[in-house]
Amino acid sequence: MAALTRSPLSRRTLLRGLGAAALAPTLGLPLAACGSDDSESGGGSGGGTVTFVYYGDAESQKAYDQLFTKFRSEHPEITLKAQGIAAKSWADFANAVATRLAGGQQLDVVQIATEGQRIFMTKDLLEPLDDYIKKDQAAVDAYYKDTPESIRTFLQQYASKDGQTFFMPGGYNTMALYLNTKIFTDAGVEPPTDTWTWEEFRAAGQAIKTKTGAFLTAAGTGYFTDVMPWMLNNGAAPISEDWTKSTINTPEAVEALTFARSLVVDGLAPKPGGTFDAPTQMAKGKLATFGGGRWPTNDLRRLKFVDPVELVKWPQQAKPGSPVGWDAWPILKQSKNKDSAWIFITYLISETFGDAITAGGGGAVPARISDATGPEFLKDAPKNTELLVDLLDVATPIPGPDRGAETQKVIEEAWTQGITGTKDPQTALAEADSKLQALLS
Amino acid sequence: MTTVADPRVEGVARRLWRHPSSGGRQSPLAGWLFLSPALLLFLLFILGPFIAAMALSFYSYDLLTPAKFIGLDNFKALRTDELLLKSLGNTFIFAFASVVTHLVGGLLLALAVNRGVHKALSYFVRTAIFFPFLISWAAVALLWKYVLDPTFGIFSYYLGVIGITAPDWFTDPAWALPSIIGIDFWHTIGYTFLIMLAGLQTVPAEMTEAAVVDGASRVQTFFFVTLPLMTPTMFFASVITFIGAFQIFDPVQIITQGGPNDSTMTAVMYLYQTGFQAFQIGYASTIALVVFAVIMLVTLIQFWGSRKWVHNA
Amino acid sequence: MTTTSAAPSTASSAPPRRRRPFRVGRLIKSIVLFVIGVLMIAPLVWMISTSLTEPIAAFELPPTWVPVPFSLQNFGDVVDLIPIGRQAVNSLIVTTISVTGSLITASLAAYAFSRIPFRGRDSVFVVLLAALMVPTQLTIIPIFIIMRKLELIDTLAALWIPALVNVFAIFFLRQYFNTIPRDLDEAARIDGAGHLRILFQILLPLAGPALSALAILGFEASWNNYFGPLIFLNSPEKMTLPVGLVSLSAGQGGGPAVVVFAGITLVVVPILIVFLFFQRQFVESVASVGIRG
Repeated sequence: MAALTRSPLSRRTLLRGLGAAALAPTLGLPLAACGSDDSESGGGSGGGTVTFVYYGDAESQKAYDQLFTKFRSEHPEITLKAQGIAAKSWADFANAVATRLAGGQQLDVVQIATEGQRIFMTKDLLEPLDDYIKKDQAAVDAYYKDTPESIRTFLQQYASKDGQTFFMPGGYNTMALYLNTKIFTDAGVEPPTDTWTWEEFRAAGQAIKTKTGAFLTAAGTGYFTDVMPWMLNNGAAPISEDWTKSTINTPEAVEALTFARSLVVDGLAPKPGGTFDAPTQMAKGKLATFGGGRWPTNDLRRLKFVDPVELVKWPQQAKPGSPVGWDAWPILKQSKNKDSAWIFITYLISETFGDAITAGGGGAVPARISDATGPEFLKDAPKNTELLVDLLDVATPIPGPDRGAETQKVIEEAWTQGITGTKDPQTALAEADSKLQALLS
Repeated sequence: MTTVADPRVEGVARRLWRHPSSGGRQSPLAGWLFLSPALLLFLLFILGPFIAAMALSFYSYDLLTPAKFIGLDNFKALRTDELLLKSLGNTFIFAFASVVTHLVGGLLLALAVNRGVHKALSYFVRTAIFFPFLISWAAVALLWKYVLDPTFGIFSYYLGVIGITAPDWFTDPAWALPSIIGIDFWHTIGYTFLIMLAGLQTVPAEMTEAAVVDGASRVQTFFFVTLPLMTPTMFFASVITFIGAFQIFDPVQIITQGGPNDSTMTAVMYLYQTGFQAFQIGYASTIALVVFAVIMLVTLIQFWGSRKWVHNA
Repeated sequence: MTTTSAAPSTASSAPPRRRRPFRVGRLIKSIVLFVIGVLMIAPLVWMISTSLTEPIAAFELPPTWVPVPFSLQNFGDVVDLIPIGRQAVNSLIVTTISVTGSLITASLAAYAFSRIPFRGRDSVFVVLLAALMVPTQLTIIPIFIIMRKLELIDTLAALWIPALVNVFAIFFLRQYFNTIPRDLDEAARIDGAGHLRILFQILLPLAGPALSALAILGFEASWNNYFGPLIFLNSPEKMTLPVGLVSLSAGQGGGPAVVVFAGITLVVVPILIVFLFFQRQFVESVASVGIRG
């Protein structure tokens, strides 16, 4: 029941199933059609067919279409099949890809979100990229220089073994707060310049409610969009840093959920349970803030309500924090055209691609820092959009444990119970704790 | 309960929903020939995959490791699965509510628009009832999430205008399942309505007129002429509605995900969760078998019971 | 309520004292029906109205039912974001073939179930019926494999071939045929008609309402089928409307609610037309079915 128009989390939800099912073709089971029947000729040295599968929301498809046309013209010897899967969520995307793989379809490169990266690697589904990197060292170095080091560090930490590299990082999202400066001004409240505390946040809300009648913020129930930001900004987290223990029942976590609930109780946030269009209500002056990464900017552009909006940090209680989730591109071990797949990946990390994706207006922050801080990205966008990049310094990756889908469900359900008042926060989180621990061990 | 003494009607009535009399010699060649297109496709795309998928219930398969044959272990696990029991319970409630509301609502609406109202009004009402059925479940779910939003939704707004505080439609465990029932009704009543309308065309006007001529009141005509002749259609609607309702999945997956507190966990939602979130494909197949068995059982009971109330009730 | 539109012969003989209560009853019924109609259609009207206005004017409270200011911006955005024309053509192809084909196979099968006695017929019928009771979420992988082996992946045929068998239609038509008296068959047989002629010249013409209902339902099922195209189609050029619609609302690269509403509106228009066209078959004072022969 996200308060935002669509679950922004969808880009950051579960993909582990992908890795799971990718193994299916190698199993001797009636349902797993192993032994590819596809008549893909396998060149070892360029040429052949490369199938790239990505999450096919409308804007990605549009942007990618043009880029792939360009790629095809530059590399006529490679037949690129770019398949955008228009799934309802990342979980459904995973299942759709899983079905194709289990059914024996040949895939070479798959766009994988953070939650699925580790399991792909541990299940030995991916081809190490180190040799390829050496081949194109210059291009890769240039890319590395221009992309956030933190994401590469995270990849090393969570999605790599024996020091090997399996992924090239792509775009990402962090969680900032979109703020309607007009409402703040009308209420006589100064928007924060850097950090602000929960009490300051609440006080601002009271003033705004009294003077303008607008809500302070939206009370959502998404893992990436609500649970993580609130907890991280209080030094808490649902899962430990090594993704093996449940930490959802700490006093800080309870405090976070209690505070979020209090906003609803005090009328500072609309009651959760349905869906409403947050950017629209902000433009109408009914909502002072809402959380988001890059994606709400597109909505604000459509509403022609960009200028009065600025990005600020999430209010914090203990220390600043933000979740981060990013796309990455690996080569599947089962690929029959790995060389061509690598050529395609070099295209994905090229400047051309980066610039075009930025201009195309996707819902993520471009991987390249030059793009993310450049005019193309920052124009017609809320003030201080650079914050999305800066937040990487305090960001925590959204966890991707093995039983990720179930984990997420437990966490979101507990948060929902707490924020709607169905259960009191302590009880909800305590119950979730035991369920989570069972899933993580 | 006597029907109007028209031999032709009796003949028709007797034939309704009975196995057609096997008067005449059997012609297996013609029979199988006529069945063959449908049958071949059925074997290839329905029965075959079904058997393949069901075979998995004897395995433990998580798509990660080779499937392990475990015999009847999945079936043994069924007995201690509390969530399965709860989901079956929820599903029964949903299916029962669905069948009753569809039969009653569909029949009344069909009768109402069939005759005796101004043509334009009939046209409008028919379209209005059926229109919701024409949009996909994804669209329905999305639309209702907006409509039922506690703060910005129009339904809650109008309730507020007449002084009612809207309940927590999707977050209150007591209200979640009724909300799904309601949304499902809105979306699918047009379907039953259509079936009832088609069935009403088999009730000859001459008979109802004859009843009136014989002095029957409108109510009597309805109960003694129309309703009995509608029983075959109602039976069909009842069977079909139950089969569909028991497999309800889309609104649950999109809106509530089985929550809150598993109050909307239906059998197929549980199956999906087990298979595609927990990746226990084998056990999910077992659940599918249970669902199938339950539906089959209830349908057979309906068929057996139909002898009592269908045909010339 | 059924007697008010009685044939002239009965109307004149209806006792006069019945007329007044009829009018009041009829009025009340009409009002109730009208209210029901309005309530049913209200959410859709709201949705369409919301999509026809500028994004910032949407979601007002109290709700505005008339789109002011009027704007087609959202529809423009839909067309801009998804290749709706191409998807509509694909959808149309698949749906037309599915509906016509399934009605033909269903008519043949229903005829056999209703009119041709042979051993094992009823068991086969039960097996077919049982197919409706199977949750389909798990059969998708075997079906995918079959499609691959038949090399139908990424073809529209993968969508309409399985649709040619429609157990619900077979069931429904069988029941409908059962209400048509055999006397008509007999008469035709005496005249030398074989099975096919009886089916196409006697039964099907009388099954108009049933066929229309099935046409509408079949069209809707095929038109809104999302899962099939998601799994079996790969190339963007082959995609059908439901996939386009989901891509509109999916993830962070989709459109906001107003654009999705516009998309839903666009997708529903063709089926609405089909419905309006076929539904006349139901309530045009059809005097009787099959009794008069």
